[in-house]
Amino acid sequence: MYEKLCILADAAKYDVACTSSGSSRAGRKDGIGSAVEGGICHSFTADGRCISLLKVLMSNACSYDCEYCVNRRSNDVKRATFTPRELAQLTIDFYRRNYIEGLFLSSAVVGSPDATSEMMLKVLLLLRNEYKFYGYIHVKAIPGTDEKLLSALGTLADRMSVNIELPSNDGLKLLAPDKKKEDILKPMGFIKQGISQNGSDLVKYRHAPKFVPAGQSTQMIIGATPDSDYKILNLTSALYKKYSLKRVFFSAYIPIVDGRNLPALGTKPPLLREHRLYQADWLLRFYGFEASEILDENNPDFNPYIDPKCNWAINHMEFFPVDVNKADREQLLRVPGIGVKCAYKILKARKAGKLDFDGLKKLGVVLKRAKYFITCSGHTMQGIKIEYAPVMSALMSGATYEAYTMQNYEQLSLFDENRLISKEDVVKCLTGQI
Amino acid sequence: MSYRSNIVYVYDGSFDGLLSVIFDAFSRREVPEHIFTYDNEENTLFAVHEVETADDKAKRVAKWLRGFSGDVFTVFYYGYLTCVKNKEMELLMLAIKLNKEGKNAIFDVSSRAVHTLNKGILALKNESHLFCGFVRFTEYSGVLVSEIQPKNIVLPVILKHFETRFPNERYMIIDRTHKSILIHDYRGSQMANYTDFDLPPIPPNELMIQDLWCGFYDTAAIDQRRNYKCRMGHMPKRYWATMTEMKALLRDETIRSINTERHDALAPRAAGTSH
Repeated sequence: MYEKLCILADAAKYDVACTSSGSSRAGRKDGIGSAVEGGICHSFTADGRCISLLKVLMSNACSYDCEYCVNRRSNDVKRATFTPRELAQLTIDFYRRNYIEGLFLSSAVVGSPDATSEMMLKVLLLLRNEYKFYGYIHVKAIPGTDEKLLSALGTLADRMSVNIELPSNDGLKLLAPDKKKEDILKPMGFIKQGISQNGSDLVKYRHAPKFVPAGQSTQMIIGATPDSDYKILNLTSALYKKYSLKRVFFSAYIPIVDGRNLPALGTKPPLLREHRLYQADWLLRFYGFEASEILDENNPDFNPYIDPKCNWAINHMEFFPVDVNKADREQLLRVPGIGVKCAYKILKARKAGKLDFDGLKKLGVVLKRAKYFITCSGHTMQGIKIEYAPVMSALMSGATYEAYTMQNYEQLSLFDENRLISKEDVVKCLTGQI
Repeated sequence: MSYRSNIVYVYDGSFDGLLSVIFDAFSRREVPEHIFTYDNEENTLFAVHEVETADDKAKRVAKWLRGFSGDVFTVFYYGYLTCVKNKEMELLMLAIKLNKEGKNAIFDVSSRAVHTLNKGILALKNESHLFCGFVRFTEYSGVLVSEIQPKNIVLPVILKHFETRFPNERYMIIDRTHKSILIHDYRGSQMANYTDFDLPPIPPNELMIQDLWCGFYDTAAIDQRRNYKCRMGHMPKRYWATMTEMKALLRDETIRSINTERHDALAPRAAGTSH
């Protein structure tokens, strides 16, 4: 059992999503478990990621041969498969000891997608009906599964996800010849439809069983194919809009298998790129940004030195300064150094009286960055000189700025046009003399 | 409440006791120099007033506080649960402020009492949330037992969470810092104080499950992304001592001494007795 668990946890760990949020359910007297809206992290691994769910594969004996995957048919690894009873018992054992918040069940394709899904369904049925488990369950929809099976899984699980894995069809063809884009998008569309259908059912019948109450999510591998950040971000934004996903996760590609069409084994995972994508993802979901504002065809990749929001701000100086005592929420959210909570607090505090820079600091505004972009009742902060160098240094940490200036000295002579924005531009925009 | 007098109060450290302190201070029209509990009492040159914890006094103060608003009472209750330094004095000052200015006094962040209490309460809530995840139960013949070492008094805050989560389990959570214990069985949850006791050795069956969990924990980390600082930020070391999967690591680290910078937490731990 120990070995089995290690094999199947090891195979599942590259799945990033481990959130237990979005579902709120009180426990019931006849069983065990509850779900908390905000989710709970139960531990953190040595790489700093949260462990919230028991993340395992049902089986890693895959019949597909996707090149990027450890579990591909042609790879020589130890194979193992849980029986539904084993896995359900293990989940309950861990849950009772408060090790986990629930189960995250994924699987390699054993035989056919339908057969695999049936096995997963058995686990869920055992947990929900026999063990009376009311905790969180996240289940992967295997592309190509029958809709009936999908909807059965959906009524038992809190969250479902279908992994896109590779952000383009070409990438998919190259690295995952057994998967097709349509196969992936079909279950996604089906789940979305199920959720909205369920929404109207719940209005009609209060006790209609909930279908995937915590919504669906997906994940993409970053850096296995030459897709640009712009392409990925556009796809992300489209997924949020079309399939009303709750989350899109990004996973920096970690070379674990050698493949003809893959980055070499020693390649470091593009963690910064992943980080920037998450930053942009937050801008899409909470800050009212559009993908086309963050990146475009001329600038298809993220700036490694400053985050996407600052990058936008510095390229759109005409938008600033924003007056904190007058601006609406959307405008406030565009200011570097003001986040969602801060904007909310500012709006609330404004009702009581005019805000000054001291008050802003107390509310939690990061003045180090924000001071260049805001005014309080028409006044800029005292002693502020809006020059290129201090603005840029304020937007980066010390070490990053050093690296940035080093790079910039080199670049100035060679690719002058590559600079973000000239000193004069900043001064012009901020003082309004154009 | 005209002046600060040269007197210190001592009370029994309970919430009712604290409310009685507030009652006494108001009825004697004095602000003590300091408020001690019997546990942390220090020798002073000031006169000592021993506050007698009385139900009727506590009830009157509680009713008075609720009269302002439910939030005011919550601030006092949560304020009592925090580990803020001199929390009793801060709460008394807040009570005086409320008496003078009315219920909106609790929103006056510029006052010291409100500011420190707010910060303390936030820390209490944060710690309570973390313990909802970091509590680790060990099963002793059907009873789940957990030890924690929190800074704040978190048990009353996390009581409800565990009650709804494990309605049919018999469990207890032992707070080693404050020497209190939360016991839950089919009759519901109870809090009690205890004098020191040790837990019996872990049964072999339980060790097997703990091994499984440690194995899962170790495999779940991705080697190429190792980031100890990030982990430490999310899960500070002071929680490790009571967490099944971190205990062994903590022990190893102490053995390896402080001098060696490198600690390879990803190295597989020595496998347990029986799988």
